[in-house]
This record gives sequence, structure tokens and C-alpha cells, in this order.
Amino acid sequence: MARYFFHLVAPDETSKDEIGTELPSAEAAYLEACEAALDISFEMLRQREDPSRHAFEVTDEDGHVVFDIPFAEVTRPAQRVPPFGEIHASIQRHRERATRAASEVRTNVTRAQALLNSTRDLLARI
Amino acid sequence: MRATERLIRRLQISTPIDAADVKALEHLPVIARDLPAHSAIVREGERPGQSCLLIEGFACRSKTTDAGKRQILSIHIPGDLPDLQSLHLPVMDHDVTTLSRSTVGIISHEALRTLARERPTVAEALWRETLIDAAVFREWIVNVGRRSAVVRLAHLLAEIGTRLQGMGFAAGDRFELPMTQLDIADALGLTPVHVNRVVQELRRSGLLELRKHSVFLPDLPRLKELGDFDDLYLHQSETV
Repeated sequence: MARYFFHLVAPDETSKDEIGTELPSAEAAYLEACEAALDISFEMLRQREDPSRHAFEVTDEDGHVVFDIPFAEVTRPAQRVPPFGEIHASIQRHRERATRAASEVRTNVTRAQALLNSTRDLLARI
Repeated sequence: MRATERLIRRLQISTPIDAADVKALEHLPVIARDLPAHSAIVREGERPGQSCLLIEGFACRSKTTDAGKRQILSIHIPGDLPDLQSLHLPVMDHDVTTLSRSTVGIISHEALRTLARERPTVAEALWRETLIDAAVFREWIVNVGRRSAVVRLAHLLAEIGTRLQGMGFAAGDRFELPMTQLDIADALGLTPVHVNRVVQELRRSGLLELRKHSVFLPDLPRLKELGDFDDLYLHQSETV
């Protein structure tokens, strides 16, 4: 366990975290900061305050900055990543469409070639 | 202090019990057990044959969601019987866990039943304890569901101070609170980092001084006002 400090940086002032929170890893500190940033953003919005320019500056016990987490980044809706099954089905559909297109092209090329040959024959007969 | 004295004092807060009741309570067989912090007293799904009396330390009742998030439902101080309900509801529907190093007194359901049959006022007092329990749960639903983070913490601190004072363990504005930031977060439905921010907010407003586990509330009336705290739901006065 290590102690991390979550300083709240606002446009006009920084409120230092003098207590810190014990957490097992830097990853846990990151996740904690994101969760807390969400909660604090909700509370601020409810009070008609703007959290979008706030950020957490997370430091370790020696005062080194580990992360900077702007609230705007946490509150932005995540890009929806479709589940694997959906991706797989979509690839399958694209492949089938490509195969169909390729075979249509092949048929058309053959037809064009036949037409070309018959035209050539006709021309030869003239 | 004898374990049963804690229980007697607890029951006397809300129920006037006579000398014969006190004597019967003194004869209740209690087996004391020491437990480290954060150890289970009884778990959800278990069928205990006994209830426990908290003699020393702090404990809590909690439930955990499928996603692994714990919600602390109530905090218990010495004199409380946090799983008294198992006397009549055989299967535990939540966990009871120590928050600090604790001493718990195990009392068999059989002994409690005999006592309740022989001393109706004691039976009434125990019933009243479970009703007060429910009153505290109601207040906690309001706290977690409808109050802002800083109000929630102010309310919790005011409640613990008032209950400890009621038992004569501490002044309402100065007490030991052996809870981690995570425990407090789970009791308030907040994240530990958010609790940390709120603690600092109360500090800056001159309402809270916190050193390790000792709490000092320099302006208790203002804290109670901020925390929307009215001690009615604790029913800490003789009601009969």
C-alpha cells in the first residue's frame, strides 16, 4: 500500500490534499481519481457549478505528480466499443458482400469478353 | 467492565428496567471473544445459534453487490446487539463485521429466549432495540439517498458522537472513531477520495479536527445544523 494525494486543481485555486488515501497501486489511484472526479462533477453540476475546468493532480508520497486527470476527460461520454460478437458478424457481412461483388465482377468480365469476341468475329467477316 | 453491564446500560437508555430485570440480565451467560479489525462476526446466509453483544470496539452491518461494492448499513458501538434479529429471523441477510479490534460477547439464542419469557420488560426492551435499529436505517436511507456528500459526513459524525455520549463513553464532540477512509466511504456511498475532500472541507470550515482516529468537533451545534441532524430517530430517552 502506498499513500497518494489527490489535489483538486480549479481554474482559480488549488485545494491541496493534506490527508491522502492509501491504495495498493498507481492503477488503483487512477481508477479512484476517475470515480471521485465523476462524483464530484455530479455534485457540482447539481449546485449549478462548472466542473469542466477542474482536475485532479495525483502525487505520490514524495510529491511527484503521478497523473493529471481533467474532470472533462472523465465526464466525456466514452466511445462505444461494440462487443466482439457484433464486430465478428460485421466482418462476416463485409466479407460476404466483397465475395459477392468479386463474383459479379468476374461474371461481367466474362460477359464483356464474350461480347468483345463476337464483335471481333463479326468485324472479321466484313 | 462486565459484559452484561454494557447491555444493561444500553437497554436503560430507552427502557426503564427494574432491579429484578437488571439481576436477570446480569446472569445472562456471555462468552467474550477478542477479534481483530475487519473480521466477520456473522455472514450473510449463516444460521447463527447465538447473537453477539459488542463489548469493546466498533462493528458494522453491510451488504455487498454482485459487482463487489460494499454498502455499510449501520455502525455499532459497545452495548449494541448488531445481530439480535437472528433470534427471530434464522438466516442472516447481511454481514456483521468488526471495524476495529473488538471484544464481542456471544449469547446463545436459548438464553435470550428464556430471559425474554421470564422478564417481559426485558423482552420489550429488546424489541424496542430492533425498532430503534429500523429507525436508524430509515435515517441512513435519507442520508445516502438525499443528502450531499458534506452533509452526509456531518450527519454521520453527529450521530456517532450522540450515541457514544448516550452510552457515557465520550463527550458528543470528542471521541475515537476507529474507521478507515474506505469504511467511511462505504458508509456514505462515496469514494474514499471524495470522503477525503469532504473531510478537508469540514476542516476548513472549522467544524472538524481529525488526528489519526480521534475526532474533535469544535462547533457541534453548527455541525448538526449543516448535517441536517435531529437526534429524535435515536430514541435516546426513556419512552415508557
